[in-house]
Amino acid sequence: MQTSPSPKPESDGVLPQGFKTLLGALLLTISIGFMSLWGLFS
Amino acid sequence: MPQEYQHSPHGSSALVGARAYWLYLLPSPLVIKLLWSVLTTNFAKIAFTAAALFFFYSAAHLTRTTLMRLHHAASQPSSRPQKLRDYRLWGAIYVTVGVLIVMFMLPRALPAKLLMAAVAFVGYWLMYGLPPRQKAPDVDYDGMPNATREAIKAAFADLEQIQTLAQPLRSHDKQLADTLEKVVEQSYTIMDLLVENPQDVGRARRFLNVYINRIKEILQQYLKLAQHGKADNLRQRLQATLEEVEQAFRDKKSQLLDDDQFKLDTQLAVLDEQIKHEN
Repeated sequence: MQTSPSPKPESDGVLPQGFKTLLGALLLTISIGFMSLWGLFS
Repeated sequence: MPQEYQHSPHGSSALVGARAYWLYLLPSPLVIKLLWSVLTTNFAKIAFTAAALFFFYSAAHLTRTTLMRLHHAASQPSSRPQKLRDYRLWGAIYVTVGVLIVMFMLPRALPAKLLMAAVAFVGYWLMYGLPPRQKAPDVDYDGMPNATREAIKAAFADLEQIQTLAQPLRSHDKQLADTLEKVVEQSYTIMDLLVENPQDVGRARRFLNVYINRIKEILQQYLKLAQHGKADNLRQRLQATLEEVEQAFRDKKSQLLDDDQFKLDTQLAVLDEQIKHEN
């Protein structure tokens, strides 16, 4: 039985897309989330 | 028969939704701060917190709508790249401005404030990406006569404008937008054929110089009237005309392809004769 080719993780050649998304989420959490929390208690 | 795998570069619907809502969640402590500032009637803090929230939630909204649009476009394969309204650059800018406002309220040195704004921009870029640069159609204009080159360039520009004009139509008149999309699709196919065989331009001169431009002008006038609610009785006529135009373009495409087939047929016959003659 023929099967479809398996999905390849998207990447622009330097970093895998999943890693970039996680790193981006972390940076956004620090810059928006933590700073907003800090702003709340300042 | 196995289904062809179509990879959506923006992930599954659930993942797109989760990524899109992350930006709504992150600034939530500021909502509490805004309420507290209102209770304590601290007007400076109310103003700054409200401004930061405005930028964060504007960024979140722009990002979510863009991601959903990209996901929708990726799940509907088209023969050519679709032009979409991509607001991610504005999303990144709004997030950066929001962080700058928050940092302005915190007792930190200026470089630290700027650094955190830069972190937000980079974070946004990594997580959501930025819009790709607009690329002009990949056309080899070398060797084309001037008139042909200008006609093809003008037709491409008109087609882009038609697509831009058709975008707001999609939300309130899907039938008309779909018909227009088909017309544009046929037009691009004909344009591709003409770019590959510029000598055929003579047979499609009215298509290039008149019809596409006329469709653009009619659409502009229709949208102008529709804004003032005066286009209702023109709508059916426009729909019917666009359907006729689509059929006419389809016929023109077949005609161009048939001519190519005829030329190839003749060339093969000549080659066949030459080979027979050699033997």
